[in-house]
Amino acid sequence: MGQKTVAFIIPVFNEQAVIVKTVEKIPEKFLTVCVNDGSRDDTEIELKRTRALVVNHPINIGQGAALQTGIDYALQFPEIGYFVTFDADGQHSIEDALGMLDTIKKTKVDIVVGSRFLGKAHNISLSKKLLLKLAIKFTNYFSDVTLTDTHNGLRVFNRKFAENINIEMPGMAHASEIIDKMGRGKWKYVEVPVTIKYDDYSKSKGQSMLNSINILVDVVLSRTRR
Amino acid sequence: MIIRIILIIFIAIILLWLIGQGASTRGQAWSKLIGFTTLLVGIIAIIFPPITTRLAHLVGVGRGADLLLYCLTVLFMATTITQYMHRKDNQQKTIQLARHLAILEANRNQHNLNLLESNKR
Repeated sequence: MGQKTVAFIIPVFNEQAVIVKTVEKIPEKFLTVCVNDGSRDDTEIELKRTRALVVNHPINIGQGAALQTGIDYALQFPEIGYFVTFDADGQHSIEDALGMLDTIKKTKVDIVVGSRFLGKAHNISLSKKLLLKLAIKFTNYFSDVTLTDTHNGLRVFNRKFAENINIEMPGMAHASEIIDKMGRGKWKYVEVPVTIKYDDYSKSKGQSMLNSINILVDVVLSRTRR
Repeated sequence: MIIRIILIIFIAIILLWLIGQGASTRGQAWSKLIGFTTLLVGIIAIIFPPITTRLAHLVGVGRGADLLLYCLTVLFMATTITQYMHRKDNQQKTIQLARHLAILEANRNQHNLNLLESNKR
């Protein structure tokens, strides 16, 4: 097998039911890194059955921190040129990720982000849609970038961006944080349509609406501290 | 009044505890200084209650007890905020520690080593 040049980073928290399936969808030619964020179910055991490299957080510290750990771990391999962040619950499609990899190689941008509002979002509830639109307005207002979807977990970026990303928000506020960094660093980015599948499983695992208040407070506080 | 003795004993205990801490950094030294002053003012207020009333009149508050309540409120808010900041700071440290530990462990974990070995072949 040749050297792997792309790493999939998957933060995993309590996903024993689907994690094996999600990893199996990822072609073998890619390096897959699963960061188990202190899951309380059998995720750790399930992960050992996969061909994903596993990094176990000793305690649960949040998705943002898990992403950063995965990136740091993958950066140890000098042959990795591209990083893909992928959700563990199976709501992202591998075809979209492959398409985004093509895009980043062809267009030579630093980051390609997926947007469910350019593409199709199946089965999304109206309240979730409204909340996301609000989050988008908010994030676009505060950062220097303009995107149609600011809270999508599917991203592809190059090594240079990976080396500079340094996510400080441990929880869910990292999505806004990454976009903020994209704007500050004057990174080149492009947004492409992706399809998100909202099935019952991913819906039950998804962010509760109330948590958006936590995220909002986190983001505002971090800005005032700077 | 018995309450005066009880209060002074309590403050003395806190004072002794503060002295026992030993200042190591500038920040700690400042918070200790503020702590000492607060406690001393407290003792004076306990022994000579009219002083608080006079102070209160000076700043336009009716009673000494009211002034004390206002001071307490401000102090409480300040404490809450500093505690919150300390907590955030500690959280960041815990996160760094956990992430570091996780990567160290991942680099020696047999499952990963086997996979990386088979990738090379």
